[in-house]
Amino acid sequence: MTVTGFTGIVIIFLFLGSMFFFTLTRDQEKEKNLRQIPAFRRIKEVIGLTVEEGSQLHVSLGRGGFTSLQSASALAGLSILQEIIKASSVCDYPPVATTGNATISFLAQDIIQGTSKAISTEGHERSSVGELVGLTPFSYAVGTLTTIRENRVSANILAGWYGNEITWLTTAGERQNSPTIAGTAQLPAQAIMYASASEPLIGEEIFAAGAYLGKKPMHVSSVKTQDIFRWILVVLMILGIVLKYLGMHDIFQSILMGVS
Amino acid sequence: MAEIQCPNCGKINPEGKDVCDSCGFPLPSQSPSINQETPSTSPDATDSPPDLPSDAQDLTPGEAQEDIPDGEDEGDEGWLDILHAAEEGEEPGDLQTPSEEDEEKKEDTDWLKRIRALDVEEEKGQETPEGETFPTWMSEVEGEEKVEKTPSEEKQELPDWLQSEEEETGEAEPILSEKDEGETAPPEPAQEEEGHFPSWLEEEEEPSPAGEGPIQPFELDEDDEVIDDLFDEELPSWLSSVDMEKEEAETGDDISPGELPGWVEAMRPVVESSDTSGLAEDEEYIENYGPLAGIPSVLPAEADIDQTSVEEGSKLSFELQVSKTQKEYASLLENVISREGKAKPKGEVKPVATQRVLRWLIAIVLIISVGASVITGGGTGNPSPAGHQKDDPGPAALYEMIDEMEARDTALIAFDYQPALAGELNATASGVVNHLLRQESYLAFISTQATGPSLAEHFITNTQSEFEYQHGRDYINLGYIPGQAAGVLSFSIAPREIVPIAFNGANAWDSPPLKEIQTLSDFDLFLIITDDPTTARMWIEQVNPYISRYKVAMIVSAQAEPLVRPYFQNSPQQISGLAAGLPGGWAYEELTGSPNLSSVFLFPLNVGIIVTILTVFIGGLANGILNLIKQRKNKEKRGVS
Amino acid sequence: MNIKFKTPFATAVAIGVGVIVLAGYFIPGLISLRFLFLRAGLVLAAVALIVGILNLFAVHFRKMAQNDDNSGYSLILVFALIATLLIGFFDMFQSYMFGQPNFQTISWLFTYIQLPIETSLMAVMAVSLTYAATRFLRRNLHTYAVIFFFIVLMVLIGTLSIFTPEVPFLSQIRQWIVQVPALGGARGLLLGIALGTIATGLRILIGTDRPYGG
Repeated sequence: MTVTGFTGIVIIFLFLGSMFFFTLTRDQEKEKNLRQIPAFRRIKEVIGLTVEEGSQLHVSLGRGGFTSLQSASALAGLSILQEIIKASSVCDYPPVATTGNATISFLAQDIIQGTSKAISTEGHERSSVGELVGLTPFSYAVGTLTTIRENRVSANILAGWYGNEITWLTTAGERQNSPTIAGTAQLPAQAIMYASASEPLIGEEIFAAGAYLGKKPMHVSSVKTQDIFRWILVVLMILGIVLKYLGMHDIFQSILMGVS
Repeated sequence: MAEIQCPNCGKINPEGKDVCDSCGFPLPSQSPSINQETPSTSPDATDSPPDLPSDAQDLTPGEAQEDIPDGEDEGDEGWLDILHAAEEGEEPGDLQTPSEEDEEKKEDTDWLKRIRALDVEEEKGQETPEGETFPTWMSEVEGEEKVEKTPSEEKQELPDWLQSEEEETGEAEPILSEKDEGETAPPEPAQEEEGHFPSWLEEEEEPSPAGEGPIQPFELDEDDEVIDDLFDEELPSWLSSVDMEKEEAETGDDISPGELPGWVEAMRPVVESSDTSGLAEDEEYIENYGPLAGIPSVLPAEADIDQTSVEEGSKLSFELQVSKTQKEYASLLENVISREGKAKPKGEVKPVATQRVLRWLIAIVLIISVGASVITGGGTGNPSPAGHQKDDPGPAALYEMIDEMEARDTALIAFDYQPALAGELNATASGVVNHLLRQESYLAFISTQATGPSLAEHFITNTQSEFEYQHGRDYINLGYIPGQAAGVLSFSIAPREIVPIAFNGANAWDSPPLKEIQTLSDFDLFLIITDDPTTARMWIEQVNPYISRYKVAMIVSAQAEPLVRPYFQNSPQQISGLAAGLPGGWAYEELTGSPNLSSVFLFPLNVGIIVTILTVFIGGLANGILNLIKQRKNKEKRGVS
Repeated sequence: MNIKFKTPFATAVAIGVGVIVLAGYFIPGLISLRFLFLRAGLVLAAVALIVGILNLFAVHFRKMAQNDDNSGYSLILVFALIATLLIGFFDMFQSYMFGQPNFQTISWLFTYIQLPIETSLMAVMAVSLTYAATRFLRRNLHTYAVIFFFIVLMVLIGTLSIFTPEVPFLSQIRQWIVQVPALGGARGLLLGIALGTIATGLRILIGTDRPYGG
């Protein structure tokens, strides 16, 4: 086993142990002090407005596959979709989901059916749908535009893996005067979202959806664990800078070479 | 001390009380008649009330005098005393703590005292020394012994409605006629208290059955038919026997206000007068009508009742009187409530006109500027790139890698970019691949995107057509690997197993380009062309363990350069060559000495960037200033409000 | 007795396969099993792509029957899909049976229809991005928004090749912006994304998140 592999195992077990620890020692009062993320607050607002107006929410899950780095964003998008379906069960029109990847479209349909069944809206004549609208990025973007321009769509939530084509989606939402809350793990797309979306989710904020929208225990624990590991990385980076400044940066290399 | 029972409500009052504490009825030991003009009343009452029961007529001043002890008023100021004091200019408060003088004064003004001093020999309407008169029946009673009247005389004195009832039922007569007969003495009160009762009450010794004698108050007889009638669901006998038709015939259609009996008249403190001179400050109104005439601070009974309005009211309909404004509000509320359950269709929102105009303007400016520069400009006479682009080590390192390759070396090229960015990446990669083909290298194409194989075919056919490379002989298109990172990893481990056939279905690994390739590391160069830094990272991470890093190079879009360059710049390097964007492609073409597409498109690229800078700068500043103005206006509005 | 096997069975399979693939990175004995699961996943991904295309076809075929504004576009999509499929089959048949190389008709469709369309969409996106940049300060007027705006301008100016040689500090500023604060911020975001990815993956491995309808 290489040093990298060993480090990976340690990180995984520490991460897992920390998640379980925070789940078991959960303090619901302290959970209320989670940092405010405007995008998630906006999502709750648009859900309420949608219920009041009798309009519809559009959730787009991006074009990320399930067999690569893009899968994490796609899973976060699916988590948001599940929470939105639960929260908007009293809407006149259920949320509509669009995807640019076949695997994600199946999962979206599965989630819609499962959640609708759980909240007893299954079989309703107005059920949510998860549509595959395009297989390439731009064809997916153009296919999603049709949904965004629906008259009864009042807000768009874009959560998944996007590239430059997200420009189309955010500008279409701006044209329709419907707010767009967007989040992705793709950095160039984040830059576009920051400039054109109503409320962007920057960086790993998209992965906190389950904690902010659904208050799920394991999701909240994950957020706390991520914070801890973030601080560990900060400390390690500062330590590395100090060692480099002191000329002792070769120590780690020697250790790694000796171990490997 | 002897106590007095009130003939009206039956409450036991202490001796010496003039009026009942409970109901204010004059107690029987004192004469209740008082002259209305003055607060004090004269005991000389000469008027005999026509409808007064004959029992009351037996009331003698002497008896009244006996019944009412002197000076034992116990400080009870009735409303009569208050009235009298008010007329004499005294404050009501003055009476609260009566002193000896007040008591004497009260005694002097006490109408009960005057009643005692009634002189039966004075005629009806004779004034007392204080200007008070008493009804005639009172005056007749004065000084007389008990007068016994015959039943016939009593009948004459009774009102007609009472006489008719007696004739019919014969029940009322015994009640009213036997009071003076002295046949039966009034029974003792139920309570053990001893009190002085008027003679007409005292004559009744035994409780008489219903209709045969006076009925004692508050003494229920189980056999009393009257009592039974009261609690019976059916109408009492005395009421059911009343002939309404006869009554109406007697009373007639005109119902005129009944005349007050004389003793009630005598009880009135003053005559009907609107003189409010003697009233206190808080007494604004003095009643002028009815039994309460002369009493101040009484709610007017008739003053606010306009007969005409009553008549009109009877003619009015019972519809709800709603004003026009109220109707509008009601209909508005009804609309709001009815709309609550309906889903309101969202109207189509038209985009702001200025947005569309601005977009078209930007598009036109860009198309004209860049198109003109493509048509007119381009070629090798362009200005050289900026310093950082000329000194970029990436293209130089890539040049060295390719330059060291020998003929018939195989280079694996991954076409992992979107067709949308084919314009930039085809131009950037054209010089590099051109160099490869000039080295007579074999090529193998692979992609993790469905459009990759077609893109590769387009590239080799359109940008490298001079070399006339043929598939299967000079290059192999391995096609598409599904599964992204998993597919890349699998291909890295076992390329022959993952991609057994070529894009056209032929056996790829038996062709000259791939005949000697068993694993990934057998390739002499691995060139990744991508627009996505994540794809670049994926390839690097997955193939790194299976191929030497000295053989991996990248051609990336300008947008991916910042995130890919660290893989080239860091130590140890994970990629050994890098060409980023059109400037990187131009730099490589400068090194090869054969200008290609990058050199052609560099100048139009610069023109496009200049136009974009100007548009963003001018438009952004303008919008920023507009936003500032809008914010200030909003602040002013908030400050004003 | 009606026992629902779907949810616990799906969860068990997901957790089991995930643990084996993860362990295969660290335990040499599981490498072959990991490879087997990976190849199965590739096949599933390819099949999912085909099923997704069929789903797309079905959705738009249904939309054709509806009387709304977009039913015409659905008709065009269905027609184009069928035509491309038929042309592809024809090319494949031609290539395999008669040795005609490299799917020429499909390549023609790609070169003269798909490529221009996507390239044009990219060009329109450039206009949209420029418009978004001009409107940026209209929507956001705070310190960071102004800084963002001027950094965009600085990077664009530094990318120029025309007069930056005469004004070298412009390209040096651009170089510094790209390689120091932008790259540093990007790496920080990537580290956070990596942590989020680890958390998401672990939640699926332990069965807390079940996007497969559990």
